[in-house]
Amino acid sequence: MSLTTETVHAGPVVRIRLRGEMDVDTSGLVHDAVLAALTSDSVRQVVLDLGELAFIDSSGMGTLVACQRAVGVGGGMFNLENLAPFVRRQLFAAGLLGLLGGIDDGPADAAS
Amino acid sequence: MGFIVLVLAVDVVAGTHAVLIGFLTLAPLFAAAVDAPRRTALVSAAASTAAVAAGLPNGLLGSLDHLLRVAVVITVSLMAVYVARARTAREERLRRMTEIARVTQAAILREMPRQAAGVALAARYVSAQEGAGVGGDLYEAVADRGRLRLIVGDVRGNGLAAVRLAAAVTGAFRQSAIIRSDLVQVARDLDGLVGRESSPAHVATFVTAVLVELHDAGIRIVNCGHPAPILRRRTGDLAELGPSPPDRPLGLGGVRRPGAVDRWEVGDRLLLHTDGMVEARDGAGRFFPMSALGTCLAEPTVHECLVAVWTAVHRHVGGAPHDDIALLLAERLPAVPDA
Repeated sequence: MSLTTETVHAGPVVRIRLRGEMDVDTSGLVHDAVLAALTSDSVRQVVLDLGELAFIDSSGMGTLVACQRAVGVGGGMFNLENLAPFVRRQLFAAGLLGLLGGIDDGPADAAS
Repeated sequence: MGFIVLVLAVDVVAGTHAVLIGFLTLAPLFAAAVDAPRRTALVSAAASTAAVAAGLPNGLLGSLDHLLRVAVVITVSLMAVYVARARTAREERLRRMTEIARVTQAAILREMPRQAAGVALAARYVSAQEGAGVGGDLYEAVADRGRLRLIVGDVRGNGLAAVRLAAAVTGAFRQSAIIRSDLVQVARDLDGLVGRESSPAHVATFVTAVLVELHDAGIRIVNCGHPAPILRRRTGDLAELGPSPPDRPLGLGGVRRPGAVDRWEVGDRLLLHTDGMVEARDGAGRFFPMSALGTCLAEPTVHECLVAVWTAVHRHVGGAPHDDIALLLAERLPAVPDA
């Protein structure tokens, strides 16, 4: 499994696009990318774009929580966007959709 | 042994004048790979004797050429015995380690009572770590004052840290399930316990778990980010129970909702499981089907049901599943009048 990250700065907002799969081997890359984004003082918000994240396991979810904490420590905002159905379903089933930012807890397509 | 005779026979028939005796060394080498040291020594002795004897038919016995070849056979034979001893010692160590792991697991996951508070119980756990027999899945049952409380959980991550946390959660549940009158409070206790656990910076520690309270016909469920329990009615209908979406996993705080009280009748069965079962995939990547589960849960006893589930998952995956699987099955028994 593999994962690539692509970081785009736009003023106070950093958008990190994930492409690939988040598991025990690759999740560290995401945390590294988030920490790297936080080194700039002007950053107030970190957004993870999961549009091309095809898979996530429990390690990946643990990492997302850790990323959220890391951003929160500095008072910044942390959001997920563009969740693919599989990732959305995994987060929903683990009760983490609400915690991880900016998304309604509604069952939507998660029940399938 | 047969091999030694064969080499000798070929040597004599072909009249190769003991050139082939080098091949005799294959017999002790093979024995070293699969046999006990004692048997390897026997084969080695036979091969050495055969090597000497091979010099007889053509009068080569004692010639420098023959002596050198015999020396090779004897040297390899001695090596073979040594290798066989080292190998069996290592195997014995591995066997002991596996046994220790099994005992450790048994200490964490105690054997289920077959029956408690009017409910028949069966549990099954298998670790994916080949030969280790220990993992981060957990289950426990606590009966108190006619009420039965169950937990099935899954520690994120694996290895020793996961095993330790699984043991801590199980122990805390035993205590809390007796003391607390409200199941939600039990979940909060475990939440605190997991939340205090130190975790590596790059990944948060959490435990998904489902807590169930069975009291006569009532089923209460607190779901902390875990796959929903499955109720099989005596009629054969299957249903997932508990709040959807579940609350956050243990260790991450947040609200803990008790969920509505479900009812179950005598003969109904409730399966608590970890995601290793529902996420078991076959060669084509398909998940383990619910329909197959329904058939498995129709077996005469709860124990046979779990054997059937286990067999079906194995057949579906085409071998051992890749993830730990913990299963806990409860069946409501007919009320027994007080004696």
